[in-house]
Formats: sequence, structure tokens, C-alpha cells
Amino acid sequence: LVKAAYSDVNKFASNQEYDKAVKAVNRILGVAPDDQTALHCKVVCLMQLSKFDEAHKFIEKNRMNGTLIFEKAYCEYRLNKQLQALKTIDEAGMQPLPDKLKELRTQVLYRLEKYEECLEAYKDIIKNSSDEYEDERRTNLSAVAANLA
Amino acid sequence: KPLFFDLAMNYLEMPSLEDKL
Ligand SMILES: [K+]
Repeated sequence: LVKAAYSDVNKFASNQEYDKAVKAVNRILGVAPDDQTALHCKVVCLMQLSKFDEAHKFIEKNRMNGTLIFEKAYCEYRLNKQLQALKTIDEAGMQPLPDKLKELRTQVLYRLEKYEECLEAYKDIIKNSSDEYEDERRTNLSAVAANLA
Repeated sequence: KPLFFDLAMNYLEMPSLEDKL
């Protein structure tokens, strides 16, 4: 049952049918409520469905605060709890900060209107990244600069 | 209000299911 359900999770998530993927994950959790991979899958699917409040509550209820740092902080960012998001990232004490948390932390700084720190963070990200989002990142850098002007 | 992209969401991904399939 679990193996078949995982196969469905994999198929539906690959097709971005996250509502169906959640149902398949729930089948796994029905028999294996502590399955960490299934719990993680459910969080990601809920977030893809923009159910950030539900995803955040699910992380806390299942004590995944210490492992799903990015997911928890991103939900807080979308729920407009910027100070809490910053706290979640910084209190995880990860050194160096992984790229995804650097990117998220910079966006949180923007929402907190900490533009000088945000500008420095973007310069650092831009210097050290080479992905398909360089143009968007430069647009964000311009937005920060506009707010500083 | 200046245009500002959410790039962090692009990093969200499912965990590896390799040993579950
Ligand atoms: K960004």
C-alpha cells in the first residue's frame, strides 16, 4: 500500500497535481503517521497549493520546526509574519546559510524595509549565483535601490 | 511600487522518493 501510494505521490507531484498528491500522501500517513518523507511531501504539496497557514500548522504539529526551516520560514513570509520568518532563519544557526535561505532572508529584509542590509545581501547573491533568475534578481536589486533613493 | 520577484519559491521541492519507490 505504502509503495503504491508513493508511486502516486511521485506521479501526481511530477504533473503538478498537488491536490491529488496530498490525497495519496494521506493514504501513507494513515498507516505510517510518523513517516518523515510523507510528512515532508505533505508540507510541500500544501505550499504548492498556496495553503500556507495549513502547511505552517502542520509543520508545528508534527514537530518539524528543526528540519523544515526553509518551508517554515517561507510560510511565515507569505503569511506576512516577517519578523518571525527572520527569527526562524537566524535561530536555525546554519553557517554558511544555504542558497535558498539566503534568497528568502533577502526577500524578508525587503518586506521589513531593511533596504541597506537587503542591498548588500542581493549584491552577495548576485555575485555568487549563476542560474536562470539573474534578470529577476537584478530587478529586485533595482527595487531595493529605488527604495533607498 | 517597484516590481519585485519572489525567487525563493523556486527553491521549494519535494524530498527524494528514491528509496520509497
Ligand atoms: K529574490
